[in-house]
Amino acid sequence: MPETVVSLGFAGLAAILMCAGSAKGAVPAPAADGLTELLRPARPVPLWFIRVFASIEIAAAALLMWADTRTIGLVVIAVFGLVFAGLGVAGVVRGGREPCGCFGRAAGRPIGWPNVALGGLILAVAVVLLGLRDSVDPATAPTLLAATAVFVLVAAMWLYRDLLLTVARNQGLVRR
Amino acid sequence: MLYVLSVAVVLLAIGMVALFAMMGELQARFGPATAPPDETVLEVEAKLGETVPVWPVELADVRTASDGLLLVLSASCVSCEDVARELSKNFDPVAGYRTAVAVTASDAKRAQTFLAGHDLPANKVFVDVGGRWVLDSFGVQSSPSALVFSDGTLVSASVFTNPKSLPDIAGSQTVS
Repeated sequence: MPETVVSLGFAGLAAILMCAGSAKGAVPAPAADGLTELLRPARPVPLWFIRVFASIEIAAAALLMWADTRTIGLVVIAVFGLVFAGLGVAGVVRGGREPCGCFGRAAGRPIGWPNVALGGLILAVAVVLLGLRDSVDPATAPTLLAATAVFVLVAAMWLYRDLLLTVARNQGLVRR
Repeated sequence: MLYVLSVAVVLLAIGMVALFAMMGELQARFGPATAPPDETVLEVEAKLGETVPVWPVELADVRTASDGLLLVLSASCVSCEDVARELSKNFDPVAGYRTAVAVTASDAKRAQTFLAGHDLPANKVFVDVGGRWVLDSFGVQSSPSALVFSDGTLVSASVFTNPKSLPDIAGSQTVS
């Protein structure tokens, strides 16, 4: 596989995790509520737990940027994919009404099939990249970082398109 | 230098995601200011005809009244904020009905944050952590919802979005 494609794969995977971690770190309550409803623990899932989880997501994504740390980053991310998919299956089985809190969003579907799909995708990409990790030139770290930043920006604009459209309408940039 | 700049760009992108997430939370809590009030009223599945032996002290009025109205609000829904705002101005929205409120939230802190934003009489507001009491007693999982009681027996349960529809809800009670 061409090195460019593999690099874009790393950048894309890192961007997903960075978006998810950043949003949940900033707004942890929806994810805490969604997990509390799903797992039904003795006490509600605390906000600090979500923030720690989010920090690990961002750290794992950052580890993809350098050749020496790529392997551990991919392993951690593969575990995340497994966890997301597992929670999705649990959500399908148990049902629920609280939004999943994915990407920090307070509105949206409960934990379910979309989480299974996204978790499975993350796991699959991580496993594939694990086999291709040595095909990326270590000297291209700055380029990889820049590509990741672009992907993060594009992903953010897609995830929060409703919000951005509202702002644009209020500013008269888009017709109502 | 390129390396440092690349890291800085990624950090800025992550920061932007966090900002979008926080803006999204604000929008979810307070909604778009120009949205017209929705008149939707829907009957919901509930344990009609049910009497509950144990009531929280805050809801005693509804239990003992010949005509009682229990409003179930969630600490994380925009419509519930609107309802609470209206109740702050007039806590008896339906003439002849004793009114009380149950606020559901994943934890007590979130409920208190919700209540701190509205001037509701503390002796008529019950905080139902996890929504368990309302769900177990009446089978109601939706909010904002209006539960109409006759001598402590549930006669109707409806989801509503506009507090102005409460008199109609109370006036159309049915017993299954």
